[in-house]
Amino acid sequence: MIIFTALSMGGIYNPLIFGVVTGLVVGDVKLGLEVGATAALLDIGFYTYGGATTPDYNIGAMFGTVVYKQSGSLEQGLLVATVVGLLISWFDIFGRGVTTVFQHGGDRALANKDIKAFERWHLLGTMGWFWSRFIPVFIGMLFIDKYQVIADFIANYAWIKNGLVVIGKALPAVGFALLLSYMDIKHFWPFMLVGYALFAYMNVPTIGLAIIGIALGYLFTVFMKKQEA
Amino acid sequence: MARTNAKLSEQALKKAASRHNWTLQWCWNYERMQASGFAYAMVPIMKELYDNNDEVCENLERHMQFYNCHPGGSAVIMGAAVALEEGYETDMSDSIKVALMGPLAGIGDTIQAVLVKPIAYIIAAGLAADGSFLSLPVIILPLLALFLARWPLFKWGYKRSVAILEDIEGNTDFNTLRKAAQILGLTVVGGFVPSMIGLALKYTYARSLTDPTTGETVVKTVALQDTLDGILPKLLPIVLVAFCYWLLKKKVNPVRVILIVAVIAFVLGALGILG
Repeated sequence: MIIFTALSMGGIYNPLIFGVVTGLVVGDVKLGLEVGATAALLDIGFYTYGGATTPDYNIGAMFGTVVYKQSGSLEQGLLVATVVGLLISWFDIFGRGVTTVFQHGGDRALANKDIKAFERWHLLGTMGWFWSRFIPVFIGMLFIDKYQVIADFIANYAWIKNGLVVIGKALPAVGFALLLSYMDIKHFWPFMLVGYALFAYMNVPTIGLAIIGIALGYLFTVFMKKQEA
Repeated sequence: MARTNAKLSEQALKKAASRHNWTLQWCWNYERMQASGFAYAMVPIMKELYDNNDEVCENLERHMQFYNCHPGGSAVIMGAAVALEEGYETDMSDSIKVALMGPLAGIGDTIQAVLVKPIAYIIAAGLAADGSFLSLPVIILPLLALFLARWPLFKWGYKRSVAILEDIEGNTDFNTLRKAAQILGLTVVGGFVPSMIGLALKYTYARSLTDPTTGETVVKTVALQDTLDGILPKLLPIVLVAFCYWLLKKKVNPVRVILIVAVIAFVLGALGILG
């Protein structure tokens, strides 16, 4: 459990990895790659400022990949990923809440001059985090087979399928908008136009955009410094 | 009694850094956030600075006060606080945490949330959508680098001790870095929004035209999306992102924005207008 928690810190805890690993488990890595990629986009604008709770698209990508495998529909996988991600956020609040108990345990240990006990209480804090993910994943995986019923139902109605396809395409917009909401668009909006024109009219790929962005950022800051001097 | 002129061993410093960098948030809670993580990291330091067990505990209790920072920024604070503890400047050690946790959280959060995470995620998602496994190192390595940076950051804080206050508060370089990060981010997002959101109008309309040479009436279907592309390519994704942005700026909760977008998208999709 502690190893799992520790692993999660070095950049492993992200939707793409969760999708791919689940893909390996269900026997089709490509599915995990697809779900993980879109789940990463959904997640892009979310950030735990000051410990805020955000949807957990990592666990979401896990369930999304399983559902994609079951139903053969990427859109259904993404929808399940979103719903699961939002549900987990309630467990997250619970997990971050119960750790208060462990901290009070640490307070008491220090008051009793027991360093070993204090250290134990701190490390046990991972329990809140672990169980807040483990319980919903465990319950969810028990019942995920039942999803087949929903998938069969949806398969009969073209209009539901169309609706789900559009949801899948539209949802990443929220992630992008969130990201933009804490950027300084007021001052730097022209750079968005540059990016847009480069892609829409010249088909420059993302890495190309990033390289141009680095060049622009550098030029701009050098220019600013000269002005100040 | 405090040992005077104690010099912390290399081993204690290493232990403290590792404890901080790995476990700072393990007992994160709403009441005092990372307090217990900071105190836990201080254990090896206090054990070397104070002889008796009671004193170690009393000094650890000082570090159980409310504390919260970006873990990378916090590594700098941890380093500086350790240096101050070493000189038995306990009041300074307590107050440097309070003074720096805000500014360093701001710097760390900006680097992670505006620069590293979005760029890594965007490039990785683009690669993964094409089925490339190169996406895996692209998403892991930048985040791993941020994690590993905590060790040198700790060292920097320890070396500069109280001078770290000037380094951080009087620093204009960071502001320029922040601006450069925004430029990079906006350029990429500007191009990425239209490329990753594949929304298009499915709606077509029929027009009867009279062929001038034969005089026959021909029915022609016109795809509205083609007309839209003629005006501005990828207009729909931009309008959608602008709509979400507007909702968020109106202080609508992000979860609610997700639900609103999902409902509108489902209805328009089910009606066959979008696809």
